[in-house]
Amino acid sequence: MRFLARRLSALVGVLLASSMIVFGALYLAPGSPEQFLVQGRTVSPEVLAAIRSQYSLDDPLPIRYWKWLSGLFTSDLGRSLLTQQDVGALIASRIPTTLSLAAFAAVLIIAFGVGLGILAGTRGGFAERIVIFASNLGIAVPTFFAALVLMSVLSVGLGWFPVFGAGDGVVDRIWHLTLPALALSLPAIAVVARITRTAIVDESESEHVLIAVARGLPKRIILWRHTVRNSLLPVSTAVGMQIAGLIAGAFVVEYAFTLDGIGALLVNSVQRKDFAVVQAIALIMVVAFGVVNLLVDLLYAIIDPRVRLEKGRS
Amino acid sequence: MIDIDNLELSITDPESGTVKPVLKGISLSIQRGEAVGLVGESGSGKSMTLRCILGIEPRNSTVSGDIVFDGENLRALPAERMRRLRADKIALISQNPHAALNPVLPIETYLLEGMADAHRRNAQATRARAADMLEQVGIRSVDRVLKAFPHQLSGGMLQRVVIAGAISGKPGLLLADEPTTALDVTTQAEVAAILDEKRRDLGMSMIFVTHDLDLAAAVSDRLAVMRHGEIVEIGTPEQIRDSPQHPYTRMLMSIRPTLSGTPAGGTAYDGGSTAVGIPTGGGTAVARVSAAGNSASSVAAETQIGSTL
Repeated sequence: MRFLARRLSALVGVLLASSMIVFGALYLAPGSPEQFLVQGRTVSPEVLAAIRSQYSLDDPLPIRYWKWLSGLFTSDLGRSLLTQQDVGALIASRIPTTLSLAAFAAVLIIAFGVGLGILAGTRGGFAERIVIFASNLGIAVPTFFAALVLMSVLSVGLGWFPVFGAGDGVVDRIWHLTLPALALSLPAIAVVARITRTAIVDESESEHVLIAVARGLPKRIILWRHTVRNSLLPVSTAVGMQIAGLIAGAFVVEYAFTLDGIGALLVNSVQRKDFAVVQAIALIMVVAFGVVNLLVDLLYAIIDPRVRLEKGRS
Repeated sequence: MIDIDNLELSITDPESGTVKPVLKGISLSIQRGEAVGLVGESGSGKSMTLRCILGIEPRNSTVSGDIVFDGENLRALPAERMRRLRADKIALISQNPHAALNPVLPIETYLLEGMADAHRRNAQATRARAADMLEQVGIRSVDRVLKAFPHQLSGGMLQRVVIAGAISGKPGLLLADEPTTALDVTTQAEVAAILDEKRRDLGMSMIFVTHDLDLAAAVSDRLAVMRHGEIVEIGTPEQIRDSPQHPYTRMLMSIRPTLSGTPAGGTAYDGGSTAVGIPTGGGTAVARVSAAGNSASSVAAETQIGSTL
């Protein structure tokens, strides 16, 4: 429990620091919000001042940050500078698409990344060579290119999957999101498969595994309890990093498959300098990263008692 | 009990393709209930001999020769039969218990997984037996130890756990690979004594690999002195002590520290290119050898704790 409390307080600190960075960074970017709002028209200083006061742009930065931050806790993310829509509502309408896409991709990463890595690490031979080759290919191919290839072969060519849209209902959504999730997760699957294979090969050469063989333990126990289980430590870190990055990486796939998730929303908002929306999405990504990392830390503690029972140090 | 006949092992370097001979025709017979100390410097092939018996020699190694154990040639057994022998008849106690146990599993799992398979009893009985085994090796807080993870126990405590696990199946043959070298000096004697006592109680044969001639003499019926992959001399501890035949054995005897402070033997053996070190364990080796007043420089230069497995 102390472990959990320590990790949680660390997460809060990280979130606070990154919220400052998120908030501050946009004001360092070229172009100010009010200039965007007037859209290049020449306006009187009175109008400009009115706009500035409407959006509280004249307050000092720390005060604006505080207002923004306290707004977050009352789920008030501000209004879009562009459409005057409530940012919270705007994001809430988009987030299910992105979340289901990321969750789908995460499942694919765990199933295929870890699965293929275990296969390659334990079987060796032909299976290992195939996985290493495919992994190199997967790391080298950019997501947008994978998306195009998948679309042209499986959608346009074979007609198995739809080319765009997120679908309604569970089955329809899974059907619609299969190709996007596949495109999104391919590089991560490649990375995770490679790390898993290396971890298993390393672990199988460790002394305690050799001793387990010398003790005449059954192969199945040596493989799963002593080799695979122990190798999951580095693997869980890699999986966590990849999954945490999924929401940030989703915009390419959302664009390619015309999904209306927050990735696509982010791209639009950045292009139009819709500060409130960009800030909110950036913060969501940071939170997602932090939460996934916290989950990885907890998983670590479950796998390795040395982490769980460590005293004093964090 | 076990007959090793002309055992040879060489390791091929996968990159350069050079072949390095490690064992050059080891022959050794051990009777039922007999303990043989295998003594020699690091890299002389002691540990590799044990690994050949268990069939866990490194990859890239070529092995020839026969090892006959209770009428079966271990070098020609099917994998599953060999596994059963490892589980039931031949037990290994390795040098560093912290490396030998899976760090993420509790002691209980370590003991039970070895015993459940060996005896196929029900879980309750096996657990009771594990607790009993721990008591037998002098562990008092049995429940705490069973629930502990390896990193929570000292080396000496953990090596007792390993001994408990090794003898729980009453194997015919114990292979002890420097079982006390990684421990601190005060617990070395205790662990060696427990091992010796249990082996005698249960009438097991043992091959005891060590750097330490005195320790080997104390726990063994016979000593075999190994050097450069060969057994250069074999005899009872008394024979080795009183009339060592091979120059290398005489050198080992001469650098052996004695209580009187005078060298036990004559001149140092000119071992050629390799320096010879026989650490008696822990950091005291240098001091003790120096105290023996002999040409300790070559010993100090090569003094190292532990050997390559």
